[in-house]
Formats: sequence, C-alpha cells, structure tokens
Amino acid sequence: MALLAAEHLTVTFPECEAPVLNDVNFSLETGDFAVLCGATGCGKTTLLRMCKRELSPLCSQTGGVRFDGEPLAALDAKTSAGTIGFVMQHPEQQIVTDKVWHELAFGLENLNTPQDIMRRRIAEIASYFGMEDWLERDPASLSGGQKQLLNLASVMIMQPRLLLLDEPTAQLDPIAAADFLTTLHRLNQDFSVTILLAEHRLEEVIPQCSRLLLMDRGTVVMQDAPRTLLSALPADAPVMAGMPAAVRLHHALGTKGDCPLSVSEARHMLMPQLCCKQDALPEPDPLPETAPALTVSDAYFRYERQGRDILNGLCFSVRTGELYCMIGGNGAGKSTVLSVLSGLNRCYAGKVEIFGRRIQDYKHRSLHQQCVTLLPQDVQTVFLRNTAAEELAEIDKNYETVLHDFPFDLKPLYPQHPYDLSGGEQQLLALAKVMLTKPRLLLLDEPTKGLDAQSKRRLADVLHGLTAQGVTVLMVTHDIEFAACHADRCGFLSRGALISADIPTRFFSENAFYTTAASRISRGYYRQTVTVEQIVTLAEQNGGCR
Amino acid sequence: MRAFDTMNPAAVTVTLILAACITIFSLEPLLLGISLICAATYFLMRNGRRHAAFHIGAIGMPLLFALLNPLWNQHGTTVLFVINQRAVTQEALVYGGVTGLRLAAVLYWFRNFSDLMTSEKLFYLFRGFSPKLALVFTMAVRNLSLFRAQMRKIQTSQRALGLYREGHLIDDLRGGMRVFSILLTWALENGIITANSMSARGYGCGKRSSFTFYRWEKGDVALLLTALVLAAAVIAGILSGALTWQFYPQRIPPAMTLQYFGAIAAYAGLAMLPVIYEGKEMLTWHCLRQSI
Repeated sequence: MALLAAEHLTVTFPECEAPVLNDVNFSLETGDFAVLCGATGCGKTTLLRMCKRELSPLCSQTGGVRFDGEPLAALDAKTSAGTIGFVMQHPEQQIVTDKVWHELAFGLENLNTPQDIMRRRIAEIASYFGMEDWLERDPASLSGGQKQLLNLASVMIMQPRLLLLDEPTAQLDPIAAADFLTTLHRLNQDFSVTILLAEHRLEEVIPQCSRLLLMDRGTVVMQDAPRTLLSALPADAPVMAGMPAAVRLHHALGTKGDCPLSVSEARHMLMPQLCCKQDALPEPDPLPETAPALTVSDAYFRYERQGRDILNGLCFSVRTGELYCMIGGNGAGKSTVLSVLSGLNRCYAGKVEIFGRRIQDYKHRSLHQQCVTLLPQDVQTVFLRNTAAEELAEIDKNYETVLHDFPFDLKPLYPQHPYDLSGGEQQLLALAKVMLTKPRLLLLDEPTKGLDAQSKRRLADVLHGLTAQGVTVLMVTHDIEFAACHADRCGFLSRGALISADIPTRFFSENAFYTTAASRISRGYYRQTVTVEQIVTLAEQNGGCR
Repeated sequence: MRAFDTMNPAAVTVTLILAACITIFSLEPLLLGISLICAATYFLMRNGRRHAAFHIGAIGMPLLFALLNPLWNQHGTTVLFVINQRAVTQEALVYGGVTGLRLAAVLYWFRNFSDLMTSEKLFYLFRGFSPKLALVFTMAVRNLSLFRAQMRKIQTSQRALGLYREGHLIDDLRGGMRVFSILLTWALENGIITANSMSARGYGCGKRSSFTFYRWEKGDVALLLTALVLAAAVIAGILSGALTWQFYPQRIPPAMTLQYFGAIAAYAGLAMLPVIYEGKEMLTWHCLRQSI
C-alpha cells in the first residue's frame, strides 16, 4: 500500500477561476526518495502543502490525499504533526526559539513528550547531525546551511515517516546545499524515511533520487524512475533547462541508449560515442580593449584591528562594458570586495580607482550618484514601497520612458506588492530600480541565488542588455554554471586575493575541481568546452554521434 | 556535590533571595558583617581579580554613610564634636556605618544573583508560572534581534543605492520612516512563515510539555531545605527581637542570649552556602587535577 497517494486532486483558490492543481495523481511507497520538479508557478508548493494538513491553504478541493491508506483529514492532530514533517525554503524564518536545544525540543514539547524521552531524543539527534557543539548557541549565530540543517533536525526529532521539503536549498550556497542533500539521502538510506522534495537544483539530486515527478501547469505530467523518465522526456520540454548537464547533453546530441544522470555516467556512456578529430573550438575573438572601469591594486582590508585580513593584497581590474564574474568559496571575501568597491567599507592600504578617480575623492555620496550601485544579496532590502510602480517612481517619475529599453517587460508587475513577486521577478524589479539611478558600474551580490533555470536565463538577458548599453557589471557568485555561460571574464578569489582571471572557456578548462559539469564530462575528449552548448557545437563540427 | 551555579535555578534563587532579604531587614552589625564577607567571598571566588571598581565602591559604602549620616541626623547623646553649631554624635556615626554595611552586603548579593542567573535560568523560573507566556517571551527576544539586523541591512542597502543626499536631514527622516514601515511589512511576512513552521510541528494540538536541562535531584532538594530551615531560624530570631539593636538616643546592643547566637549562627550557615558549595568544588577539582 502506498504511503502517500493523491487521487484526482483538484484545488481551486477562492476568487480564482482556474484550478492551481488539476487532477493530480501520484503515489509514493515507503522508502521512496522522490523529487518534484517543474517551472516556478506550476503548483509545486501548493501540492506539497496539500500533503501536510496544518499547512493546507484555504481552497475548494475535490479528490484527496491519503496517508497510509487513510484520508489526510482523518488523522488525529498529533499523528499528523509528528509523522509528516515539512521543511520550507527560508532558513531563518522557520526557527521559533532562541536556543538550538530549545528549537530541537519545540516539536516534542508540542506533542507533550515526557522529559526523559525529550532528553534522549535531543542527545541522539544532535549526535546524528553533528550539532552537539552548537546546542547552547543562538540559532541567529549559525550560517545559513547550519540553520537549514537545524530545521531538518527539529523536524526529524519527531521521527516522521514522511518528509516534505519545499526548495530547502534555494537560499544556500552550493557547498551547504550539497551537504544538506547528502544528509537527506543518508536519512532516506538509514531510516527509509520517505521523502518528497521540490527542488530546482537538480544536478546533485537526480542521481540520488529513486523517483522523479514532473509537474506542468498544475498537474503531475510524468512520474517514474529518473532514468526512465528522463530518457522519455522530449528534448524541448521547458524543464530541460534545469536538468543536469549529463541529461541535457544526452538530449541535445541525440545519443543512443539510456540517459546518463551523473558526470561519471556521462563520461562513460556518452563521450565515447563522439568523434574527437577536432578537439577544440576556435579561440573566441579577444575582448575589445576598453578603458578600465575599476582598478584595485594591493588592497588590504580587515573588519577589526586584531582580526585577520579579509582582503589580502587584492589586485584586479574590470574593463568598461564588461560582465565580470568573481567566484570563490565561502569566506573568500567576495561580499567584502563589493562593500569596499561601493564605499561602505574602506581598505586600510592599497588603491581603489573607479573610472580613473580614487574612491576617496568621491565626496558627499557622489560615488553613489549615477556612478556605482550595489545590489545586495537580499534584494528584499531594496524595496520600501507598496507597489512595484511606486518603487520605481520613487527614483524617477518618468520611469516608463527611462526603462523603455530595459530588456524585460515589467508592466505586469507594476500593480503588485514587491514582496508578492517571485524571487526572479524581485531580482529583475530591483535591477530596474537600480538602473533608474543610472549607474555606470553595477555591483551584484549573488544575483542568481534561489532562481530557477528560466529566471536565470532572463537575468542573463537583462545583464547582457545592460552591458550592451555600456554599463559595467561586476557580480560575485557561487554559481559556476552561470558564470561559464554568461560572463565575459571570470576571476577566482581565494583568501582575499585574486588567484586567476580569464575568459570563461580558458578559465574553467584549466580548473580541475572548481569547474562546470560540462567541463568535467568532456575533459580528456575535448579541450576548452565548458558549457553543454559548446560540447554540442564541437560534436556537430566533428560530424555528430558515431 | 555540584558547584553552586549548576544547582537547580529555583534552589539557587531561593538561597540568594533569602540571604539578601534577611540582610535588607536587619540592622545587626555582626549579621551584616557575616553577610558582606560571605557575599564578597563568593563574588571573588567566581570573578577573581576583575571588577576592582565594584569592590572599591562597595567597601567605601559604610565609610561614606558613616560620614554623611551625622550631617542630617542629630539624634544620639554622645557628642563627639561640633561643626557649624551642629553636633556630631557617636550614635549617628555608628548608625550610618551600619546602614552602609547593609547596602554594601545587599549590592554583593544582587551582583552575585545577576551573574548567576543567565537568561536560560530566568526562563526556566518563568515557565513555572506560565509555559505559554515563557514561549512568547523567548520569541519576542529573538524577533527583536532579527528586526535590528534586518533594519541595519535595509539601511546599508539603501545607502549603497545612493537614494539619499548626504547631510540632508529631511531626506534622512523620510528615509527612516519608510524603512520603519517596510520593516513592519517584513515582520508580518516573516510572522506567517514562523507561524506555519510552528503549526507544522504541532503547536496548539493540545497540552504542551516543556523541556529543560534542569532537574530536581537530591542535592537540589537538600540545598533548598537547608536554606529554608536556616532562614526560618534567623527570621524567628529577628521577630522575637533577639537581634534588635537600639541606636538612639543611646546604643544598646541585644542581650547575648542563646537565641541571639543561634540566630547569628543560622544566618552564617545560610550566607555561607554558596561559598561552601563553590569551595568544595574547587577543592575537589584541585585534588583531582593533582592526580592527573
């Protein structure tokens, strides 16, 4: 008998005509690790919430969800709370209390668990998740990844049989996200917890999952084991953009056999089918030599007098009209670079020049007036008004004329509250707001965080549109794939110094670990192919598949 | 035996409050002296050489009061000398010294109390009264710091956007208002997520239990009972008048009865409880370290 099953589930929100979920049918067996994927707004969140009674939205509903054979509504309150766990996207806001141990205890307290059992469970879970050292800490002092692990642990402590997760890694950096997904996989393997995970970071999770559910416009269109499903997926399906490089490559090349899911499978199943007579694409045209928009030489910066140098002899320059991506691990100093360039912090030694003038010569906030603008990581902090239109009008009353060549149509967003927009739309609105201040140098902090493949592509289009208008863009990011596909140049920051900088093809093909999946797949067969598109082009020039 | 600060917070609180309250309601120099010495010793044991300014202030208190009290207190019969046609009496001098002593002792007790009682321990005491209210209290504390952090983030990001002119007061004020109003919206948005996360984990589905690291062990009960019994003996002594001094017009100490000494000894026992626990712990630890 299925552990979780939806039967002809149709959900309509009040005052809406079209249903959000339309005749959804699916079932999960005990021990399944299922991934739910689909474009933003296709109803993933609603579907997950319909499986958790406490979070079900106000709606009219036909059909229903069964848990262990019983309708969800028939479960008693404690069983429903304890046996179905739910983890949401935002690490910070799910935390209720101000001590890690209290957060772990919270769910057990609600179920009126006796002291002795709580004590044992907390000790057990802390040791399983490796969080014994943080038990006494305030969750606010934890990193985003640690917070999300805490959220997972405080659900797992109630020993649920089913875990529902709504994009739990969207706000995490790639290392923390991989950690989180590994922990999930381990929980599934060790305790056969059934997992239903909505995710758009599919590269790591698809090789691990046992079932894939594909949603489109409010209904589950395909459900099967990942390999079967992905082999049958049409190459032009909209979700293809978010799939792992191996899958995209398989479909773009039209190779024979089953679809590979991981890098190593792609190397073994796919690459041998390609002809490698010509092993590299011609060198791209060198970038035009324009005047530098920004030069940093020998910059040193630290936050505290006794602290360590966060910027440690940083030297680099960005040319006018270029899209420069700075990548690097956590704590490499990426955000600090931006705070120094935007004048929020001042380095204690070294020189920072912006458009040929030293940064300290920009007096009276003139640095920020039509020169440098920083778009922070948390774009919500940019918004102060009740509608998107007011937000733009705040800076320039004639925003519509100024923005007429903004490469994305913002009109549908105007009447909405900025907080009600999706992550991708918020990013674009913030960009538009920033563009109204007419900056010549735009600094972006992790703009692709939490965006799905389609929104990323839209963001890239907008950024290319801006550089074409002569705006210089410097972004720091964890998103290697984005940098490889869209940057003019990439720089690698490590321990406060820029180690190397080059055009993406050379940059990523010379890195062995810090590189794209496509580069890892094609390594040894082709040189300097760092995106799926480049492999496909080169394969076609070689005469396609054998 | 465990160190005093690891005992059950309720037992610790009762001991400290009793020691302090008896000090407040007593004017017996011997009792106050014992109180001051015990409280100060415990403070020194926990803090070592730090907080020199606090010690100087507290020790200076009896001297200061002894000097100041005769200035507006003319009672007493033994005139020491006369300034500006005002008599300075021996009784007023002593009375001032004793009140100063009392204040110094009480200061030490309260300082010890606030050092010992971390927010977690206060929370533990609080939830004895109302678990729900205690939860609201923790959430409020947490949200306040979240607000502050978010406000700082918004201000920084607005500054980097270059929306305000420098030194423009009206711009800054208007900006501040807007930041505040968006902060409310943000708080509501976040509140919904937190509420969802709470109900997803079963908040509000019946009676709650409340987890704590503190338990009532034999030692805690023993500490509590000892403190209560000793305090009862002292209070009985005070109420019977065995510890009452007369200061004006003449200094008359209480009679040296068995009851007097009994009450003083009982108070010494009560006030020394923290020192005894701490000293035993230090000694044990010292011996254990010797054997490593």
